[in-house]
Amino acid sequence: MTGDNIKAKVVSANFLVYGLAHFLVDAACIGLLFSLVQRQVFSLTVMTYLFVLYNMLAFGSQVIFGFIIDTLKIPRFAAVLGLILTGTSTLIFVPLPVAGIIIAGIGNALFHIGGGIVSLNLTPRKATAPGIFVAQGALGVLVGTLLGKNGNFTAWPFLLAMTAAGVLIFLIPQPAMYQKLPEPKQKQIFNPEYILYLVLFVVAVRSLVGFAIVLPWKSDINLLVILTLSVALGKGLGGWLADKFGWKLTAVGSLIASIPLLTLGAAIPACGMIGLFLFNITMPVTLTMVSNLLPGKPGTAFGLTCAALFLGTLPAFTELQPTLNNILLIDIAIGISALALYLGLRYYFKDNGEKETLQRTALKKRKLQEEE
Amino acid sequence: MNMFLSILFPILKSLGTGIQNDAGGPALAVVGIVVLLLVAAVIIVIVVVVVKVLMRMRKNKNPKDE
Repeated sequence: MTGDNIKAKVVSANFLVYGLAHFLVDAACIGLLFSLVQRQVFSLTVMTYLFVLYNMLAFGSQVIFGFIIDTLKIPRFAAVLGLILTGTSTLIFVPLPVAGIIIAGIGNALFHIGGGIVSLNLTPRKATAPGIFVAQGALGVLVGTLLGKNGNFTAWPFLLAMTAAGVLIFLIPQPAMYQKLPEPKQKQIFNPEYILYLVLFVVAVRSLVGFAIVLPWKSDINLLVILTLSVALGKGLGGWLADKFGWKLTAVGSLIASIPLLTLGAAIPACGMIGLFLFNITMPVTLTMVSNLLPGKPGTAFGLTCAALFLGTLPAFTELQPTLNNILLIDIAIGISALALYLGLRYYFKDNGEKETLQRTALKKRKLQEEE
Repeated sequence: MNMFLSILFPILKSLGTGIQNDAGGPALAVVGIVVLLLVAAVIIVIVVVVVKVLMRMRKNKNPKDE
C-alpha cells in the first residue's frame, strides 16, 4: 500500500468519525434546548437567558478552551471529553435542566475545538477538510431542532452513537498535529493582527446576515430540509472549491454572487437556497485563514472564529430583527463583507508570500506544456 | 438624543437568543441590554487579548518580523 493510500484512508476515517460525532453533538445540544422549550420547564424569559448562557459557553468560551488545548496539545482528548459531557447532559437535563444546559455548552465547545483542530490538520493550510467537518453541524442542528420542537428528543440513541464515536476516535489513526510546517516567507507588508480582525469581521457579518435573512417559505419542512442541505453543501464544498479555484476568486466571487440571489430569496425558494449555498462558501476559507495566521494554534483560531460568529448573532435576536431584515441593508452588509474579505485575502497572500492555487496550477500546466 | 433612544429602546426592551419562529423572527424575547452588552464586551475583550498575546508570541518566535 502506498503512502498516499494510507494518508487517504486516515483522512477518510477521520472525516467519517468526526463528521458523525459533530452531527451528534450539535443535534443533541439543540435537541435538548428545544426539548426544554417544548416542555415549558421555564418561563420564556428564563429560557432566553439560558439560551444566552448556552451560546456563550458553546461559542464564546471556545477561545479560552482552544488556547488551553493548543497549549496542552490534547485535541483528541478534548473531542472525547466533549462527547462525554454532551452525552451526560442528555441524561441529566430533565431532572437538572440548568446543569444540563451548562454541561451541554461546555461539551459542545470542547468537542468543536478538538474536532476542529483535527480537521485543520487533515489538509494542512488548506480549506477542504475544515469545510467538510463544519458542514455536518448544520445537519445536526436541523435534526436537533426538529426532534426538540416535536417533543421526540430522547437521550439513549444519542448516548449509544456518541459512545461508539468516542471509542472510534481513539481507534482511528490521527493526522500529524502541531507539526512544524515550513512557513511561507513573511514579508509583513500589513500587520497580521489587522488581517485577523478583518477576517473576524467578515465572520461576524456573515453570522449577522445569516440570522437576519427571513425566508418565509422555511416553514415548509421539505423546503427547510433542502435549504439546510444547501447551507451544509456550501460549507462542505466551499473549502474544496476554494482550494481548487483559488481562495480570492471563490470566496469573494461567491459572496458577491449571493447578493442578487438572496435579494430574490424570500420570494423564490430556489434563489434563496442557491444564495445561501454561495453565501456559506466563505466559511472554510475564513477559518483556515485565521488558523494559518496563527501557526501552531489551530484550536485558538477555531475559537476566535466562533467568538466572532457568536457576536454576529447577538443583534439579530433583538427587536431590531425586522429592521435587520431589510434586503438593502443585507446587500450592503454582504458587499462590505466581500470588500473586507478581498482586502484580508489580498494582504494575507502578500504577507505570506503564497500564490493562489489557481495561479500555481496554471504555472504547473505551463511548465508541463513547455517540457512537452 | 430622542433618535438615539428610539434606536436603543427596542434593544433595551428585548433580546431573544437563538430561537426563531418559522417566519425567522424572534420567538423568545426579553434579555436586558445590560446583559447583551456585557456578554458582547466580555467576548470582544477576550478576543482582543488572545489575539494580542498570540501576535506577541509570534513576534518573539520570529523577531525578524518586526
